[in-house]
Amino acid sequence: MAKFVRVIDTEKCMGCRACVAACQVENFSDGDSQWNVMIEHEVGSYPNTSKAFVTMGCMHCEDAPCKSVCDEIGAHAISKNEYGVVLIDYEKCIGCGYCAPACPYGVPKLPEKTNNSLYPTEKTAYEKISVDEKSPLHVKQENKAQKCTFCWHRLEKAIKAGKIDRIGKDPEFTPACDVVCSVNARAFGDIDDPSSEVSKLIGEKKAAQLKKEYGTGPQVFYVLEGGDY
Amino acid sequence: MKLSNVFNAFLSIAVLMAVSLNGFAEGADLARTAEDIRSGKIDVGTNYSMDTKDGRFHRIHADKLLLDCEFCHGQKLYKQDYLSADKDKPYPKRAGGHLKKGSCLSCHQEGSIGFTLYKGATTNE
Repeated sequence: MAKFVRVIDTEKCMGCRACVAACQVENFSDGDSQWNVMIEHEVGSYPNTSKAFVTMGCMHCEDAPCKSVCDEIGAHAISKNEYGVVLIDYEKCIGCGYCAPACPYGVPKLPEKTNNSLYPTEKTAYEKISVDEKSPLHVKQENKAQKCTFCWHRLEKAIKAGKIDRIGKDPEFTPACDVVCSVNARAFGDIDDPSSEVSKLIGEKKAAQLKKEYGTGPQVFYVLEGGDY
Repeated sequence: MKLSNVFNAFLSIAVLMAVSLNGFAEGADLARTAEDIRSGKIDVGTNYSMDTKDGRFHRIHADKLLLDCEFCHGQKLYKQDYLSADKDKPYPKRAGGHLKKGSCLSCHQEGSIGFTLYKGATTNE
């Protein structure tokens, strides 16, 4: 069984935010509930300083605390499927907000209003899709938790078409944020396949998981300056 | 040895023992309260909400376990903890400020007094 992970090379990322924009358009997310955010920070000390960029989406943890806390209170709105993707069922979510503080990465969002339009004057091509045709993950509800889905609607399409081996390779079967990166700082694929790009990057560039002290087993790996920590 | 020095030494030991015992007692109380909450002896209600202080979350942590607000809510905490998604954004009004998520770890990792939310550092190594 394939297990999908993402690798982000912070040494290559130049902070253009194309991945942030791609996510916004693909997943109808707005400023209050962005699923993929860019964090920039200064490194070094004056005068030898530079900026480092880190994009953060859901880590799709192996032992996701958001899921644990959701199960603990009996809502069972958060699940982790056999491909390692953590998803929220908006119909089951009771909007308690417990998942937000439980996540060490500050990922789940509970917007008070859902996004109606990315631009004030016109709708994007995606926004013109009727509710019936949208993925259930894109029919969001106010005051209910939402977060990055690894673009599950794209992965699901590949799985249904029997093209699971094309995930991470063909743009239509790869998360939008990973497709648009102009400097190849992002890779997505099957970690169980030793020949996949993500496996090689993790092995060769010592890509690390963030905040390992929580023991959540995040499935997003970062190539950091100085290697694993 | 002067008598005053001996007295001071005894006093120091007595104070240290008192502080230690007090800490132990507080820890034991916390564990006992946590167990009582889990077993249902202490009613914390069924209002699952982060919005108000009447919600179950705040009743458990603030009302029953008597944790100070600052145990979880800190300001400008992200200087050393920048790899979190909302570092540069103000929290929505329903959230009380930046949360010290490391505080959660102290009670909610495997083997601690709270239910297991985090497996802790060594599990996946």
